[in-house]
Amino acid sequence: MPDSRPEKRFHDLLSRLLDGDLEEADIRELVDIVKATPRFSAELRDQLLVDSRLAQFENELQSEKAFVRTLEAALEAEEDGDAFVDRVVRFADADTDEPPSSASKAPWLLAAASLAACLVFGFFWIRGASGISEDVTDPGVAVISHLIGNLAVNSSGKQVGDTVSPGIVQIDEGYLSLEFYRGAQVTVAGPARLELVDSERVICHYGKVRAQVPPVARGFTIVTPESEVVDLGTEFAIEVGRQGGTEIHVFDGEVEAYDKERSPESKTLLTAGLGVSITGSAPWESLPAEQDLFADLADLEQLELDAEEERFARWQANHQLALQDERLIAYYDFERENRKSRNLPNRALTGSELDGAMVGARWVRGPWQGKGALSFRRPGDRVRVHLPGEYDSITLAAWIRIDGIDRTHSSLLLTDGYEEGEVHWQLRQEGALILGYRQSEKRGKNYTSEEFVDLTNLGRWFHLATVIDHQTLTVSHFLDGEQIATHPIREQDLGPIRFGDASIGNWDQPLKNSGGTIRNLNGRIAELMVFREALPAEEIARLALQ
Amino acid sequence: MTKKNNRKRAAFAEFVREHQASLRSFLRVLGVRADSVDDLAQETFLTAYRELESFDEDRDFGKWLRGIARNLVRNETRKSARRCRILDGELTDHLLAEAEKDASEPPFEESDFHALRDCLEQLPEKSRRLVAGRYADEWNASFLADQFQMSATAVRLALMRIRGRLKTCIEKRQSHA
Repeated sequence: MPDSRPEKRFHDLLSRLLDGDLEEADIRELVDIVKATPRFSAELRDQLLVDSRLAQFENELQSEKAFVRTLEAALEAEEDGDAFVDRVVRFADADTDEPPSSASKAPWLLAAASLAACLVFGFFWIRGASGISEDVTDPGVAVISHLIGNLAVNSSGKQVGDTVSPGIVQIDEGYLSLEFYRGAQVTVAGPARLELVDSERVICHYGKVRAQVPPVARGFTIVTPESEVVDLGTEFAIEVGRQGGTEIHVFDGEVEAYDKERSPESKTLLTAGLGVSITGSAPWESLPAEQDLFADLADLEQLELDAEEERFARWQANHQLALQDERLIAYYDFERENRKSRNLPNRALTGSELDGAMVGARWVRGPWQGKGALSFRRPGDRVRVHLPGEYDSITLAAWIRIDGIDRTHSSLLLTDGYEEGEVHWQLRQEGALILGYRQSEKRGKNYTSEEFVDLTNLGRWFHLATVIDHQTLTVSHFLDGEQIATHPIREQDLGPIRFGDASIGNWDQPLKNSGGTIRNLNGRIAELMVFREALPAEEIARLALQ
Repeated sequence: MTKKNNRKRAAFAEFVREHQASLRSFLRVLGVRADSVDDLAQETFLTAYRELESFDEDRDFGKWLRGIARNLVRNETRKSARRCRILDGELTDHLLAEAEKDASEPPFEESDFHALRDCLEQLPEKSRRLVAGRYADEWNASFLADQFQMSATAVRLALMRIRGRLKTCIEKRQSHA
């Protein structure tokens, strides 16, 4: 029986090489193996070949189009550069009425040449930069315009304003309104399950759907298990039962209805006031369009205002509890004291010593009608605070809206500098929440969450919380009341936690060599709580109004 | 830009479209780092463009390109490791020698992507997702390990087996075609 060990070792090395995770010494070993065994050498080459094909096939950035475009830019840059140098030299040659001394001519030519080089380089750079923004393509097909209730977990959007990508959107209870990129508006009553195909095509698996299609969005299509409905610029509604069966009601304009195979002979034109009921393969049954069946879908805005009021009332109840909560080191509710004051009051029992001082930040509307917030935009905007004391455990919790993640870091609450025991609570440009904790003179460690802020959910309100728990020796992050990350922290690494002088929404006294020292937040804060204890998950969910 | 230059550019763009996929694979098989393949392919084409006048149209353009690519890669083996665009100097030396031994065309055309697509579709769902995670999303094995609740080693070996299967599948399709 042949010895399988060399083969196993070879495959281990090969698989790691292809994963981009092979140390130099291991590469040496791999080279020795493939030199000695032609069969393995062939396998290595096959693996590299398929690896490259897959990368080209799967990765948009490596597509033929992207490749040709970059190459064309490089060619253009090269030719423009050549032409520019040619012109400069010609110009210099022609300008010989007063022949410059060689000493003065040489630096001039040098300057021209380096200018040309800059232009070439600059061209690359600009193309490169715009290339990056070109490559950030929007996968979305619609935007959530109204939402009452919650979307099922596998839906691609979550809140009003979020972009929705192709895929399932499910709402078990409540109402949802989508504005498709092509212009159609679709309102859905739960329970409903939709599947977005693209910006003008949606599959309704079940549920009640009302669509308004302006002329510009003509051709918008809803597919049901029994039919395909193509809109010709109009308003209509569809109801699909859980067990199948489709009803189509046309309120305005006209639609074309087809059977599920979309056979041309099945085409039926339905005009305003008409409807049709389709069950299985039975002949279609005409019926009058009934507005009343879909009346609840007509005025979502009012329903939404009611829902918002309800959330605000729940926040107010939490607020009352917080005012008496002895665990709070500081509680900033971001409610304006009076029109002129630049004081941000601390509402916790620790009192006005801990009030914040506003710098630059402006008053704006918070997450709900009636709730205030501060807007942070410019590098100077911040709230200065001083939080005394040392703590074993802490909880940070805040209502935050992110309007842009244009800095490497966006500050939520950062102590001045970064001394031993101090914490830095901030967002990273990739959209993750991080807590930095300076354990010692030599070490600081970042505890990072998964990434959750991206271009599609800017401008949306989040409830963020982070807990350092001395009992369980963990650092945990929460997003909208749900735990999204937990990291262990070693007992010897967790000393007393301190704040001292700190800034909300900015960073004072940045460290040298810390890369990206401007860390002002671009967004809004409507509440910030700092607890001297680790709050249990249920309490964080309550603060997040979950 | 002159008319002559315009014509030159248009003809060249045709060449690029025709040869870019196979050139990039060729470079990768010489042991070029995955993230440097495009870079070196661009350089190969730019060099070819500058030397276009010296190219005899009766010759095989692909072969000429691969010659330029080989020279560029050989040049990489002489650079310091830190700025190098190849995985390893000795590895590339070996692969260069292998490439010269194996003078057969690296066949790679648009139709091969069709074959690849068909073969990918035949993969089980989980394998398909692994491929997408590795190549479309560019995650490495240790990240994918968490996502798929496998060990990193298992992910790496699974991807290696998948690549092997795809290679066999593509070859079968080409021989039937």
